[in-house]
Amino acid sequence: MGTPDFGDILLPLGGVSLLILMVLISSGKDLMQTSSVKVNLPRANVTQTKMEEPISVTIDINRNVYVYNDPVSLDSLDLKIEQAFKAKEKEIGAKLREKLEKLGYPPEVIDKEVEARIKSLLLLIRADKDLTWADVWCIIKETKQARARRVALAVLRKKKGGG
Amino acid sequence: MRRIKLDVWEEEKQSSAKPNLTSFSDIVTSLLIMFMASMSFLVESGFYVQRGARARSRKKPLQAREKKKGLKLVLNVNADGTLDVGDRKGITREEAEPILKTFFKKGKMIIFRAEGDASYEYVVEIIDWLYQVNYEAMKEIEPEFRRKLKEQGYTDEEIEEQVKLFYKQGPQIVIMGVKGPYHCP
Repeated sequence: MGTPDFGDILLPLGGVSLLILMVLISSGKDLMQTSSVKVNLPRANVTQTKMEEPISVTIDINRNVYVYNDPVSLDSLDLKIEQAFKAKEKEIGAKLREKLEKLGYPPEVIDKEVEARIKSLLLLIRADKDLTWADVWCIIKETKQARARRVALAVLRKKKGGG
Repeated sequence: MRRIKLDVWEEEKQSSAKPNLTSFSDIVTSLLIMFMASMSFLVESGFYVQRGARARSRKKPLQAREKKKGLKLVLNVNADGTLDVGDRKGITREEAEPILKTFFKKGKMIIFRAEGDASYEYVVEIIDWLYQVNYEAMKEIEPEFRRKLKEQGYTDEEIEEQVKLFYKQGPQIVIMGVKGPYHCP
């Protein structure tokens, strides 16, 4: 058994790094966003980064509104949000129930946990920074009609030294 | 003849099989690190928004009642960049800061509105600034807060936990809508 050559170690390291880099470049931005609709989000210093699987509503610069990636009219927005919440509640509820059942929790505790998780579902409003406040408020107002209990305005972290 | 060719090939294989990969690995790893570091600026995060409730009865809404009691402060963002804080109209951020700090130190609530024409980017900037002003206000009252907890018999560990919660809370900002007329498309 001889000592491993330096080149033998570097070849796979370089290869793997290159592969990770290519994957990150191609899909990185989509992984970090909750919707693939392109908007210029405003930037902020103070942010709350824990955004647990939110339902996203996007308003682009042309005032087109999307729930996830589906375009919707403002009239049907509350209905679509309601539907998205119902689907999410079902999905998350089933997942959590299964997990807690496996851990052997009693049904009443499971019901309580599922209810709490459903109540904490978040609606994330992704609005283009070049819109006016009235444009964004019209959407926030609509979310009041739907069952969205927790709402957040999406921002990107400000880079140091401005911008 | 064939044998000679094979030997030459073996020789070439042995001499050129190990290219210098140090610089290649260095560049790729540096690129990967830079890319991963810059990813944090692409991660979406956000401000939680507390929306004001509408009055459902003929009774005065909670906001109005509490405003009357001095528990809340109304902050309007004007399209020209100035602020209306309580009774003081059209003031700058520098002028508004001490008023807001005093208010945040008392743990009171801000009722937030902005003119319809104000840019969304500017409104977010103001919310961001309010979080920072609140943080600074919290920093100023932190020693007093610690002292009070100590007097109440909290252990050092419990105090640290309470201080963490104290900062985590953030300012109480209720988004109440648009100042003045506006219309939705």
